[in-house]
Amino acid sequence: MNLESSDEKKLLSELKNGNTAAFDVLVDRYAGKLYMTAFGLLSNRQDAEEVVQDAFIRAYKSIGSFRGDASFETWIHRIVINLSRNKYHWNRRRGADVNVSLSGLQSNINDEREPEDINIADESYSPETVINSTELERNVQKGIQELPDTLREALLLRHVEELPYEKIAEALECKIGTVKSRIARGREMLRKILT
Amino acid sequence: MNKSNHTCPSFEDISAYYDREINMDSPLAEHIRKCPECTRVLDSLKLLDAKIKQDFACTVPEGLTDRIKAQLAQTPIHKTISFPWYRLLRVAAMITICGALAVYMMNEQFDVTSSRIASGSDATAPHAKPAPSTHHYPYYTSNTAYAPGGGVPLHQLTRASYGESPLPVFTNTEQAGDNQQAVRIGAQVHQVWVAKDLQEVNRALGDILLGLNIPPSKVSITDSGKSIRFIADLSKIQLVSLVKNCSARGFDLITPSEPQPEQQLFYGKKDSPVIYYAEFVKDK
Repeated sequence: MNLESSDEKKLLSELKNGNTAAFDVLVDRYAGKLYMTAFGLLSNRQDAEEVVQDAFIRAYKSIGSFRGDASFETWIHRIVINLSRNKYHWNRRRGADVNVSLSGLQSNINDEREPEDINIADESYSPETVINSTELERNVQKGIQELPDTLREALLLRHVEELPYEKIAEALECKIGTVKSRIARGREMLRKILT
Repeated sequence: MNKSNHTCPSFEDISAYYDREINMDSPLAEHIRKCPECTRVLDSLKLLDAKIKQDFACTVPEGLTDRIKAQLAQTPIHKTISFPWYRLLRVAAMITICGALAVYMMNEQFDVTSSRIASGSDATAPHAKPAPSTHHYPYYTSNTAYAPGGGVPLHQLTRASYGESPLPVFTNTEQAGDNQQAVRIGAQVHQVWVAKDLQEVNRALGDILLGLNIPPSKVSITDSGKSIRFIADLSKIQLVSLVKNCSARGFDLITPSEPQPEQQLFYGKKDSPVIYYAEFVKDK
């Protein structure tokens, strides 16, 4: 059987029947795209390669429990995004205190006051603030690293991998409307960071 | 959109148009194509797109797939074990009976624990039931490898305490300012964690649940020896705290479903119920 031309479902079926060569085909098929995603999120070649290797190994180890609710491509994307997110934050807070409060949480749970609201900035934009080519000469890569995780991930999956909103929603486990909003807000924020 | 033309669509719609994610035959799309202001925005998006692609363009390292395959060759694959249906029924019946017994015993034990915590004393709590004759009562888990009768013994658990850090915030606004987007937690959350040592997972879960005052009746833990399945009936703030604390204990969350350990701002009410399904698998 020619595994290279088999679809994902067939490959997973072969794999569950013990034909581990089927996983090699999945590696050939997705490793490059996943590396680009990880590199986009981490901006570091070595970290990106580590994340992609780790993701495939984790997927391989637990392929027996993969139910196939989402496609393998979506599943491995989720693993890469999550590992990248963890590595990104680990890199940023290396050496810092990562403890979280439980004692404070108890007082928060018992607090009957209304939840604290945060002021919403005016999201409207004006033509005067539209980005121009000069602004873009500045470092876009650095600007993207300053975005919140959710916006950065959606933006990179769109611009670097050119995934449609539907696939991005599956990979990030959110609704298509949320993807639309995150991409627009990411672009808006990037513009503000660059000006 | 702007001062000169109030009929212009939002930036979000223009952004979606640029990605061809709206109906390109709609009146909205037609407006964007014809409007000079919208065209300016589209041009700026085109520039941004090109610049991002240029900055993030990278070549895949040579030999990447070979290195992955070489590692995979040394990695064991986890296979699911299939039972004949009649054996499965027998196993299910046994689990149900054992589960009912375990829940009963854990509820008894939790009452004792709560009294001790409230009084700050082991023996003098007014509501404390008589101490069991053995200290090896199960706590939250049924793995007999850790204690006679199963589970991490209660007296070996330490109420989790993690010092000072910002508390999670719950808000009724989904978009809160430039740098803030409130995370929406669903009614059910499924997550997979990787841990180096499953015994440590049992211990950590016990510590954390004790610290959060979550009674055993709200929790179900099944330890197969290879993985730990954890199901809990929680409030959203309890879930957020549990996730943060699991991360702080060194477990690695590999699914991107929310909440994530680093997230701080959440949409909705902190007391809303959520059913949490987690699988802790061993990292080999």
